[in-house]
Amino acid sequence: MKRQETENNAAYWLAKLDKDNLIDFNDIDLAFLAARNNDFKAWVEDSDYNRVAFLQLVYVWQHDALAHAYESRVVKVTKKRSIFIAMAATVMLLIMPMMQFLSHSNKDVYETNIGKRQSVLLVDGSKVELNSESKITASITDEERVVTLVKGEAFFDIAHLNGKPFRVFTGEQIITVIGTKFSVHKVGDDIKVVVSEGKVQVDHLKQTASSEMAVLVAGNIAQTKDDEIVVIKDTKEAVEQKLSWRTGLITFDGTTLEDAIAEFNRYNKVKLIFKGSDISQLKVSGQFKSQNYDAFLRLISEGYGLKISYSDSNKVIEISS
Amino acid sequence: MIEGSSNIEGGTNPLEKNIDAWFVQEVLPHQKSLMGYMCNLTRRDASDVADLVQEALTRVYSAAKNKRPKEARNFLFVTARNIFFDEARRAKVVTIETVAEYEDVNIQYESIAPEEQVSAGQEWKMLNQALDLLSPKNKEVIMMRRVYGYSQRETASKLKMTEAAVESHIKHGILKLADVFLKIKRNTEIPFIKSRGNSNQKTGGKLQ
Repeated sequence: MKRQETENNAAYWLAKLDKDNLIDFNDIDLAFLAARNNDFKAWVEDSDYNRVAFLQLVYVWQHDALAHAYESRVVKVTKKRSIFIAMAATVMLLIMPMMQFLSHSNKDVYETNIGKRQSVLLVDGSKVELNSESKITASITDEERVVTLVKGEAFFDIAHLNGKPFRVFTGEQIITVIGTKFSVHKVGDDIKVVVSEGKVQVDHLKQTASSEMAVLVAGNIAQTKDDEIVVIKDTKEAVEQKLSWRTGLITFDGTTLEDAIAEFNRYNKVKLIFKGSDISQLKVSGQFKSQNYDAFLRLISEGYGLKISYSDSNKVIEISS
Repeated sequence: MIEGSSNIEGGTNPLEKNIDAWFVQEVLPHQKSLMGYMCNLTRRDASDVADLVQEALTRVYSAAKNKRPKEARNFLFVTARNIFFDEARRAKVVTIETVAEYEDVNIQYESIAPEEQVSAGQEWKMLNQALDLLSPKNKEVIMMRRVYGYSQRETASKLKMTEAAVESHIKHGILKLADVFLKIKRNTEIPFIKSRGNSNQKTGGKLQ
């Protein structure tokens, strides 16, 4: 039948042209494609019937339902990873050290001291903002776009580059994106990923039977714990709060005193400590300049009646009940 | 954006989308509901009206090369309907009943918005289901390429396949997914869905 035969031919051409990354699915232009392949030109110019059959497949291929196919399902992290992810990650595990070795010579290093932030523009047009006490190495070549988060936290605004993936290594995990905005915070071997735009895939580098992968979308926050990934679907507001460090602010929303203190200590040479575990779980909320621990201390001393005592050298401030 | 551009007359505006992008964005989204409409009108199943729908789409594309229709959806539906009646007249099998029903449907499709919304939602759901019906290997390839955005070459190396095998999987996968448009049954009851799929979903928050 004519229709099926034409559809077959159209599928053949779609797969073939896609192989060479020629098709811009969001702004399809058959004349552009025809100019790049004479056989395709002959086929597509033969009839509008052929053109329509090809465009129908383009329509299916660019359909949002496919691009977002996993949003509805994987956000709740699957316990069992599909085999292909395991395979993909295994291959990655094998090639990554090699790749890192090869690209070692032309790596750029960026680092911030405590209390400082820095914006970095990478050669591919991607932007990285480093938080306090953070360090990345970047290797952007024609073949690969790779950044290693050595320590601390960074916000990534990744430039779209014809679907060429951008990868962030964090030691134990690997994050793969195409063009999105997200932040990664490394604490020990675990990471927290906050996605403010687009889609982000998180894989564990070491594959064990129980290790997981997750695909995150805007508003998702993922926290790894050993080989688990917990994904929280959050609001845009919550995500913005988590990223408030980019403007020099710390936001607490029902945060425990223990975590709040740890947060201030990331930005200040003066270290806050607390005495007595009974107060560690007190909840605090509010927004503070990251250097303004004085305001924070005033708040908790007034609100909870806690005692604040300064050490002789003023290097350590102790909070007790 | 959508309202503004659909009010532009004719094909002379240099700012207009190229015809292929226009066809994909403005015409093909109505393909599935046209299929349903034609099933009801002709009292045939989808596989029987597929050729007719294909012919209508082709005519719309050809006509749009000269002048873009103002109302792509209406133009498409009217074109398809005319093809059917022309064919029926030639075959002399058109019955009074069929014509009468056409009048009914005609009135409905002038104010067609709710049906369109349902169709978009249905299409979304069916494409997702279709993805699950692919063979595991086939689905892996499609996911790697389409969801994670790896190139065919990268997909091949990650899945330890030849590039030719990946290309072949893409070819077969897209054909199966396209079959979704043939899966509509005539006279199916369509539930009312209030919100319109995810196509209008905003992504990303504004950050200071």
